[in-house]
Amino acid sequence: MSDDVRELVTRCLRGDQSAIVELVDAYRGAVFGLCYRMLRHRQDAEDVTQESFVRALRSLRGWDSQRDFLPWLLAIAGNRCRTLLAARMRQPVMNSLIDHLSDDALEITLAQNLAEEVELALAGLRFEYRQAFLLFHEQELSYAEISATLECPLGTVKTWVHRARRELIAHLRDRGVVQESRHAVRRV
Amino acid sequence: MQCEEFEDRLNQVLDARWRPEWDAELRLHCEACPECRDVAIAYGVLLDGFYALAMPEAPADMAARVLCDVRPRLSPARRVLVTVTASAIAAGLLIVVVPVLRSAVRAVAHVAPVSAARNQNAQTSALTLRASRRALALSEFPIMPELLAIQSAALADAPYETLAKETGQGLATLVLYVPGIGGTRGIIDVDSNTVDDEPPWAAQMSEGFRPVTQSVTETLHLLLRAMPLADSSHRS
Repeated sequence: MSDDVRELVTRCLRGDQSAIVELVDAYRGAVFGLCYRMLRHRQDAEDVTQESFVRALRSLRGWDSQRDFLPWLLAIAGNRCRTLLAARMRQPVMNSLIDHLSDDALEITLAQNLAEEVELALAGLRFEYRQAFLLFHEQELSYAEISATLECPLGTVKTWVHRARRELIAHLRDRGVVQESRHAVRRV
Repeated sequence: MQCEEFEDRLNQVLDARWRPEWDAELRLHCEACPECRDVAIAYGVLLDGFYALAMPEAPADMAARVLCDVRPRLSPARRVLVTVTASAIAAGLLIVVVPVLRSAVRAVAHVAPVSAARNQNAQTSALTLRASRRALALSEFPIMPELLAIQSAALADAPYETLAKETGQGLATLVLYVPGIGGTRGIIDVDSNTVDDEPPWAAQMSEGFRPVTQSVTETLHLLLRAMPLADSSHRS
């Protein structure tokens, strides 16, 4: 890990607000990206990103400087996403209405192109599969880093990423984006 | 390679961040097996679609939002409590300190009348300095030790901007960690229209804040006015 990050963290611990600004600006893209993909809602993603940074800054002394900073930060963000998603699940009436409306809207508009189909497929994945897939393919963390981030064995992380790929492809097949028959992949 | 091994091998290649077509085994198998080639194509379609996903820009003001949340904060009720307590202690201590100070000054004046004024000033300054440190240490505000140390330095009367440069502290840090001066944390909102002509440190505060006071001395005087505690351990 670069000494720059260590120094930045040290300055944050001293209460240097310009360091906090630097730290947030350096990592806001990665944290927001993960939150946005996990939550599929811009406002929620912004709120969770903000909350993640605040929690990270308040527990900065707990960060092991021998480990990379980004996986540690993304672990906090992932946990906040999980908490929010769990809260959403506890609101069945509201959620089912929103899901129903958004699904309808998605049927009409999101089938317009492949990227949106993939986004829709991602939303249907189990939380752990989605998080592992995003950390690997979007944040480009190594399996070892993801394993540390999610605090689970490396083999489990691999399994989750592989299952995520398989389930995403199954979803794309169900949607007719990728067809099972030979030579029949259709790009929408 | 057997067909049942194909997808596992494909996943391993993707795990290594290789392209499937770079893997000779996969390529050879695909040439011979249209079914597995479709599987490979499906993975390609998935990843093409994933990497084409648009990512909205993270909010540019995220740092400012985070700063608002991490600054030390006192609730209104607690601020009132602190103010009332400080005032009560101040009144009590004034009753005790003023007569002692007067008698001390009289004693000095009696022994050395020529330098009485100078001695009085020196003693008052020393007492004030100790009292300020004591008062600030006793308060529950997160006053920076560096700031207290600065009071006795030559920079005490320097503008914050100079002070920040000389001490290597961020100006926002210096100012925001001094509570009780205009608002809860030593800052006031300023009209955003007036920020354009401000010195660089104003921009550093990113939200259009600037300090109410101009120097550490001024800040400490204001603090002392609010909490004039004496250091009783040094009085005798």
